[in-house]
Amino acid sequence: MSEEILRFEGIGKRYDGKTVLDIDSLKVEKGSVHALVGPNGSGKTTLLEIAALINEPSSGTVFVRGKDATSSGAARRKLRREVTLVDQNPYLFDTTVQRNIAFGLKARGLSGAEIRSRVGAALENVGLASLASRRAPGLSAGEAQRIALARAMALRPSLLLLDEPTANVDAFHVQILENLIREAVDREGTTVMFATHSLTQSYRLAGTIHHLVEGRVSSAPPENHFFGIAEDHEGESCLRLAPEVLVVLPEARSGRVHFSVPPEAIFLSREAKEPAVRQNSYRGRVVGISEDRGRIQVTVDVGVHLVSVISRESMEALNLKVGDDLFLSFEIPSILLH
Amino acid sequence: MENLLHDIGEAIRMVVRLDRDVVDAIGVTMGVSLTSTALATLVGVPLGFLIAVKSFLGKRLVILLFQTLFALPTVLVGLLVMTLLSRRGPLGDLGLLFSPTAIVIGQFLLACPIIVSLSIAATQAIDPRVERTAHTLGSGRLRTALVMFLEARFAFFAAVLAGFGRVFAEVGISMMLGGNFPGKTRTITTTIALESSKGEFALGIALGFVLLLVAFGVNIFFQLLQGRAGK
Repeated sequence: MSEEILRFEGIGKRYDGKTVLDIDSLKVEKGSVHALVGPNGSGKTTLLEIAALINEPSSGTVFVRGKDATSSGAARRKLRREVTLVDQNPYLFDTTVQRNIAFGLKARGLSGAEIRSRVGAALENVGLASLASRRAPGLSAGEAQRIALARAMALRPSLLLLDEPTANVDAFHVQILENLIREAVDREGTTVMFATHSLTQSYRLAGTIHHLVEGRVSSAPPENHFFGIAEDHEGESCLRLAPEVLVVLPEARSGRVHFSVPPEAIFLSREAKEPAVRQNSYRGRVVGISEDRGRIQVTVDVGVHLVSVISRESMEALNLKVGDDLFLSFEIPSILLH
Repeated sequence: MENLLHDIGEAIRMVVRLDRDVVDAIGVTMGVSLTSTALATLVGVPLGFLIAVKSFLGKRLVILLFQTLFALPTVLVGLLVMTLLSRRGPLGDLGLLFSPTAIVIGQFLLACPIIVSLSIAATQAIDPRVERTAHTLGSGRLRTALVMFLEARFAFFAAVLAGFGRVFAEVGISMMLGGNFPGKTRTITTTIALESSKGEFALGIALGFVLLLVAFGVNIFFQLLQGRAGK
């Protein structure tokens, strides 16, 4: 069994009586990469803050390298040096780039020679060695994010936490930052947990994905999310989800494929219709109907379970009940490939 | 009009020739106001920082009190210190009344609330991400306080300059506690007040120039410092 770096047990966080985080258990092992995926306000940042030991949970226990880090005082401050968090909009101190990177190293009482060597290496890593003596406030958002990453990586933390590391940067920097995170994992064996709202990014980088919805975490895939090996069928790339369920993909793919279908893009009807555009159509049976904040969610078994979200008017027009047979379709371009 | 022009001409000559009275008054003023500002800085900046970062009962009241003392009348400070230092006062045995030390004590009391109030405001204006970032990088309490202080260094410096500006140009405390002895406790402002009351305007105008020149110089220095930091 590999070494445990972080463990949450029964972590809850409440602000003004409202629960913003409620996690039974979460475990991060050495060398693994975890993604926290969820919309804004789902609790990603709060979870990262609690993991970074800069925010205290209202209930539950956080373990860092097996030690209880929930208690306050010197023990917690010591464990705080095992983890570091890079914010979505990181703050760089109003001094030079190299002093920014040296800050955490000085706090750890390293020797001058060791600090100089680590600062140099960290700047080389992020490809910004030429900026060493520049003042930090003048940097672009992308450069600042890279420097913040270098500042965190120079500490060689047991766990590197990143909050939306590519949210505020241009497409060019998204690629650079993703490569840097990948290198940190591959070369240094860094354990990483990052928050993102992009499922695609989480598949590119992470081995484990946690879906956060209103403060609760689940490792189950989100609605209508599938993966498998693409196959060629009559000249088109397809994925077979069940013996009778073949999904035509929007573009040619080979090998392992992840895709999802937004529930809003799935249409239900009582009768088979001649499709106006290219679409995937199946016959199925309603196995569940639920309502969530005015949205009606219908789960249909077509060989696999697919979830459709429809309006109240459509629901009334279709007059659906559990057990009804119907037709389900979604346009091929609505498929999201990850 | 002719008299005024004559006085201005005479004033310029006095400044250029470094007239003894001018030099003495500048020396005394600089000595007492720099000392009192330095002492008020040592007390006021850390105190303002602590009041801003700590939570305690009555914090808002304390802040309000310092803000009120911001506009403390100099004659009131003069009166207070005088009752303490006068021969029959509790500290009368020290024999400090009408000495530069008495002026320094009074000016310290004048500058302190200004430096404390502005240091509280400077600390409250620090980006909350500074403390958060320091913590995520494993910084202890002292280092975190230091980096917060450094991030707001210009605001703290402005607080000290405001304190200096107030004591440098005050007249009530110097007059009441100093006694206006030439070369010892006669400051720029008390000289201006005394000479003007005698109808001798030239020396007053000369020292007025110096007051403005110092204020101008201090501001230029501050601008340069900020400009260099911004690069």
